[in-house]
Amino acid sequence: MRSLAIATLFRAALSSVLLGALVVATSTTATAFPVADQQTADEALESWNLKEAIPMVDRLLADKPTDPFNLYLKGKVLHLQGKYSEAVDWFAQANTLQENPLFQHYLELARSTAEATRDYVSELSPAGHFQIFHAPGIDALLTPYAGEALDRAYEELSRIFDHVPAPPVRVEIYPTVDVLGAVSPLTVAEIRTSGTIALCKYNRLMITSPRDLVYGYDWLDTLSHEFIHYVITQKSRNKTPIWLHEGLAKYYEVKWKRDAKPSLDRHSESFLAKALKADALIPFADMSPSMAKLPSQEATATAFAEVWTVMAFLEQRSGGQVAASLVSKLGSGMEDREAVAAVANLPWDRFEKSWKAFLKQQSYRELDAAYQQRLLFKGKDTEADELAAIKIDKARDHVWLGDRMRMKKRWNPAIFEYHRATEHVGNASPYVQGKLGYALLRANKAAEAAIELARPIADHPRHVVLHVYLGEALMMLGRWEDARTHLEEALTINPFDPELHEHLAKVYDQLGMTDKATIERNAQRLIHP
Amino acid sequence: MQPIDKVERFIKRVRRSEQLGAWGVAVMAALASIGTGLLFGLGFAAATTPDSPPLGWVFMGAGVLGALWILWRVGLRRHRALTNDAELARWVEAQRPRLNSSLVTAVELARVPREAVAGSGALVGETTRLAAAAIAGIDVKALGDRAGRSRRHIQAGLIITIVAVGFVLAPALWERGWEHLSYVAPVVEDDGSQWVDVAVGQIELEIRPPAYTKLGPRRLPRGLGEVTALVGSEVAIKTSTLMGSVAEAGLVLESNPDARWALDLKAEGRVFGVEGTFQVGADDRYRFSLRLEDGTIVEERTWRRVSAQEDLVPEVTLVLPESDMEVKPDDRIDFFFEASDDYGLDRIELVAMSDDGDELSRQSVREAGAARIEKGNGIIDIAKLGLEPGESADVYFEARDLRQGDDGPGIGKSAMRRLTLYSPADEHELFLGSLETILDQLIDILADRIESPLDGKALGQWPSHAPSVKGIVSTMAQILGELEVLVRNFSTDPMASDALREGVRAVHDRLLTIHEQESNHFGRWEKEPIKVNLRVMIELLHRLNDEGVIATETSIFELKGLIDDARKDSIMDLGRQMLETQNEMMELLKKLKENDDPQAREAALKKLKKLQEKMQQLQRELAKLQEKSPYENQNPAQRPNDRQMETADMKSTMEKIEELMKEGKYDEAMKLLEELNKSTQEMMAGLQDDLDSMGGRMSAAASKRQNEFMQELDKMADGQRGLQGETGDVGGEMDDRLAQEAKDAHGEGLKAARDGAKSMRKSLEGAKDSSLHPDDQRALDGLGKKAAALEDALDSGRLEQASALAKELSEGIGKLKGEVGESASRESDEGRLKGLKGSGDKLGEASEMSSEIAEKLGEMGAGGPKTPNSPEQARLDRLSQQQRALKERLDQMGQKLDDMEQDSPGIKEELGPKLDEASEKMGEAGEELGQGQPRGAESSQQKALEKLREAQQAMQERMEKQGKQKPGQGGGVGVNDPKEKVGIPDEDPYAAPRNLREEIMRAMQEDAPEKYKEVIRRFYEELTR
Repeated sequence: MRSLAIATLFRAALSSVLLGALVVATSTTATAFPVADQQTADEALESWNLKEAIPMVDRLLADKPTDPFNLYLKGKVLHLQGKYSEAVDWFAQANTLQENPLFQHYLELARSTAEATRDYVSELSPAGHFQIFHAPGIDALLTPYAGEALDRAYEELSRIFDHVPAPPVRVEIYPTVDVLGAVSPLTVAEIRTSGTIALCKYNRLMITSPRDLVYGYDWLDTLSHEFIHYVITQKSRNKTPIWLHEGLAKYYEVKWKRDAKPSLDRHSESFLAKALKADALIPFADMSPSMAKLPSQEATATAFAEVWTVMAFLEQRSGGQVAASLVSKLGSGMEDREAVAAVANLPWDRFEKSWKAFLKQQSYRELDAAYQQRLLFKGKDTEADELAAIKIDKARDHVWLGDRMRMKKRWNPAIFEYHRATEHVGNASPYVQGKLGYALLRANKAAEAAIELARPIADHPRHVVLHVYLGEALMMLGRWEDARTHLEEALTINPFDPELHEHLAKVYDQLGMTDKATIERNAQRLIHP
Repeated sequence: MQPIDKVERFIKRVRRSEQLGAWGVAVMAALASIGTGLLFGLGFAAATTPDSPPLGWVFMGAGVLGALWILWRVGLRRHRALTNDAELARWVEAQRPRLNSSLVTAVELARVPREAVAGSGALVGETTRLAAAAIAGIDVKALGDRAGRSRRHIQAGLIITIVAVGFVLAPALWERGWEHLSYVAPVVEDDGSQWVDVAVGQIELEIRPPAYTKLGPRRLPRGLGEVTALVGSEVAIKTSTLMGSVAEAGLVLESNPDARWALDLKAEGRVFGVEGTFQVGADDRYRFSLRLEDGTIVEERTWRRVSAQEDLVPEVTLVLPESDMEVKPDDRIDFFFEASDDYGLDRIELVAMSDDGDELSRQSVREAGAARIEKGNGIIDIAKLGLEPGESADVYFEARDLRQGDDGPGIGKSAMRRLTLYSPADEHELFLGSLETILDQLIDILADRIESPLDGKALGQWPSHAPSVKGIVSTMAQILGELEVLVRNFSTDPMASDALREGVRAVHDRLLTIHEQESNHFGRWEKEPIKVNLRVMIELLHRLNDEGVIATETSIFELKGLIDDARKDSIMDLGRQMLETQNEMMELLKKLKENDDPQAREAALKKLKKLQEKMQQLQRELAKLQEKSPYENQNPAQRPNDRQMETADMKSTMEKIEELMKEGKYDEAMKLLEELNKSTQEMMAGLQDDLDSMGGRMSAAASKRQNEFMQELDKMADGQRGLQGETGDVGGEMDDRLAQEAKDAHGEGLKAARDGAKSMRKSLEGAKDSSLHPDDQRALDGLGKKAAALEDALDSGRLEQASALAKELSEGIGKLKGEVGESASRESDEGRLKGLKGSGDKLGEASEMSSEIAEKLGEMGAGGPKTPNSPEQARLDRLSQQQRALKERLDQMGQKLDDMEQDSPGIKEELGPKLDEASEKMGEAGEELGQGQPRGAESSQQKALEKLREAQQAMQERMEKQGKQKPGQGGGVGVNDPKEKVGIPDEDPYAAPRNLREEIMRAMQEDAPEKYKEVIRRFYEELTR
């Protein structure tokens, strides 16, 4: 699950509630108490092992066709298979025979999922590893890029984790976070607050279309991230604790890209730097078995960053990829610490000390607080919220004034004001530099624009605006290959940018890649029919 | 005149006279003939039935033929006969024989050409002359058969008179005769009914207008039965059938042709009298339908028109006031009217309506008593309309006429005048709008300045640059004018904060300074370009433009901040008002629940409406506050944001409440109202947070954290100060105890030491000399003071202090002695040298003495450890614990800086080291206290306190910089400041007349703040939960 602490906490809380509900329900009715076979089947379903679960459920149903739990299990099978309408019937039968919060929960979930995905269309990824479902219309734009990225992720991550999921893996792309809220246990408010825009749950990958966010998000990395969760859940039979789940997914999510090496993002790095400086690293004891008890979002974020470094440390120490071994050990029933210690070939207490020493060697840097980047949701975040992201009053004032000039198309005064803003926030703020770059572009100062736009990219490589404008600037300068790099990067964040595909088509034309140019023109037509 | 002319004229006169006479007789006789024909024809027809043979036409035809014959015979023939002059002359000669044919001859001769009677000219002339003379005495009118003619005239006149009298005396007879004559036999249809043109004779109508008109009935004796009458009039019909054997008579209306309205039927000889009534409702037509005794239905083809005249609604004109007005709560406004009506006015009323169509007041201003025209006035008392500031009422006159029944009365309305109750909020909004416009203009000016091509070195381009400068100067002049107006406006605007008033004025003054200089320089060049040094002027303008960029930019930021703050105030104020209205509604609902009073329900619904309006107003304000920043060409937001959805939900809740109230479900309405109240509070709390963070200002939560931190810091410093004081007290008491003990133990030794100290001091005094260097002199003075202090310390037994002083003195005196010795070694002046040596000697004595004293004190145990006794140690232990606890709290505060870093970047870096040092010193103080060293602890505490003060100062500056104030200092804006005062403008030179200001003051006092207290308290609680 690509999320911050709230989503994690929520999931933990929900699990507790459901478990509690199940206990209450089963303790009151003897017929619904899952017998051993039922529990085994349920465990198989929880680890999305349908191959094993389906015959068991069929057998159970044949024995006791009116057992509510058997009906529930059948509904669960169908739900995991993506047959939501059919699942609704089975869950409804189970709940009719015996009212149970668990059955009720699944009934509602299946019903809302069936409703939300009723008209969805699907396409197979080029290699056939994934079946990508999406709402008809503009989201069709995503499937070629998603298919290609996922197929690559499938090949690479299956190798890394030494586990090959049965194809096709179901992927659903939702047009808005509201739909994600409807088909998952999360509320829209929680999604927005925590930034949880994708999930791997119920035997499928679920992401929100980047068009529901003002600037999109790194949606292809996210798909890969969710796929790792998928692999881990299956391989470890759902026995991997959340902290290792997230650590592994975060660490390996970039592996779908050719030659990509895992790197800690600047925000996580900053959290770690602060924690190291204050000697306030989150102890692993506090993370295990759950991160739910961590006191704040910052602590949780720090913990996730730490877990990422654990993977880095393990890889460095083992001299190779450790994911398969670690997940395998967890799947075999080893405790998390035990598994980590075994992979590291160190007793746990020594592992922790060595890891801390490793951290201190990394020279992590704190991030300037003058600009706070976060996901901006349509319908929630306004232009004012963006402006408020600049934490220095004077800089914000100059940016505001620059924007007013920009709206009046007074480009030189706008440039003047954006420059004034940089006097206060420096020239590494992606927000200010983006605006400055745009104004320079419009004032036909492409060379200057390219310089200004390139400055913050090192610290903020996922700020899509920088890539789009920089790509345009480089195009104007005739640096087609460089332009391509940035425009393609922008594509992995917000493929709905109205100018992106047009620019890319031109770039591909210049580079003689006419097939790709055609794809981009088609995409452009989807956005502007 | 020639005789022949006289003759011819005579002949003409005779002819005219005779022709007229003949025609006169002919016409009279013809009329008599026609009259006789009519008399006999109609009389005969009247005496028979309509369906009898129409012999009457024979008589009438004979009369007409006779008339034609007479006209031909008597008139036309005679007329023609008189056209021949000769014949006429002969006729005259026959009448007057004495003419002797002279007339005939003259006439004949006149017809013959002159050539034909050649030679007879004299004869002709004479004959003519004789004839002329003869006719001179003839009266033309006396010629002919005058008597006969008169007789015929009389005869004809008599006949005509008889006929006329007959018509006059028995009109019905003639009418009947005519009807009978004109009767057309009915056409028999297939169904047996018969169609006739008319089935009845002349119709007698009596129209009785509605009673309210107080008009009498109007009779129309005979006619075709066409009716024109006022709606509501009753029409009585009276006529008779044109045929006999009628069994029933009825009336058929065109609007309802299938119905028959029965009429009374009464036999009148061979025909039947028909009577009936109907009421005029609308335009229509009617005809008669008869049923004959043999069952035949006789229908009329001819429709008779009924024209319904509407009673027109009264006309009323609002004469004064001539236009809409802004009014004050205690105003009484005079309204003047003129009214008229066709059938009379009943009364005139003055009506005031609210914007949503509710009647606010209605008063009768004139009972007209059916007068057709009225004029007068009425007064609207604004206070009684119950308007809220900014609300409007439409006032107009209604004139009612006397019409009654379903359609009545007719009501005429005058034009409306809108009265709007003065609203400080609306006015404030107007001013803010103007300020926003100015802000926008300033942005344009700033852009112009930034793009100004002015260059101090480019003299040659000045002509092309001058228009740009001119443009900036003239636009600035206009902006400054507008700003000046706004400064005045804000000075009387009760909603404007002091900050807004002062801020706008400051902006005005700042911009004015630059503008005046620019304007002067440029103006001088425009007037006398030759006298201006262009290079200097361009350089000056160039610099001024640079200054203008800074000044304009600063002004823009200030104005933006002021506008934003004002908008935020408005929004928070609206929130307060909404909560207040909800509470008032709740009270009303409670009453409604007890007693379903329609008036209370009406009042509650009105409150609800007000609430909805406030909500809309809030939405508008929020939209205005929204920052205008462009999205970076990405996925634009195309759906309502959370706030919009939130307000939409609240609107929907209000609608549900309205429905429930209308259905009388007050419990459910109250429940929803509570939910609404909670939502409003949550929304306002969220809004306050949003508004605070908007534009980067700190969020309410962050601000609260910062305030709390500041408070903690204050407490920490206070605690440390108290601890230091107590430590000092223990230290002092310990010193006193030790001094007493020392005095008891070393009384003699102390006395000796004090004597020694006294001697030392005297030696020091003796060392004073003018030869000493000023620095040495000052050092000597200092040593003297220390020596005095040593005496005191020894006197009071404070060994520790005395020992320290003695050591200091020993060192100090020795050092000074060395300095003086060095000075002496360099001194060449004998006198001064002597003085220096004397001083050195004295210092040497003093030095020895001080060393001895120090030594003695050492022997007495001074300088050794000062051990507190048990009670003292217990107190010090307690202080030590307190000190450690204080340190722990300070360390916790230091950790909070991490969280605050997000809201206030740099705070940790700034405050962290100070707090760390303070913590370190506190730790030292704690240890020293535990070790029984109060004096050492006191010193550490002092250092800790200094660091805390530095942290306080830094925090204070930071908060001031962020525009925040410490709690309790007032000036805060928002719903969680119940003690906030409403700003009343100070008097100032821009102020409006004093009475207006006083009015504003009074109005503000009337807005009872008591009502807000509970709401604000609850809201504050909600916020701080």
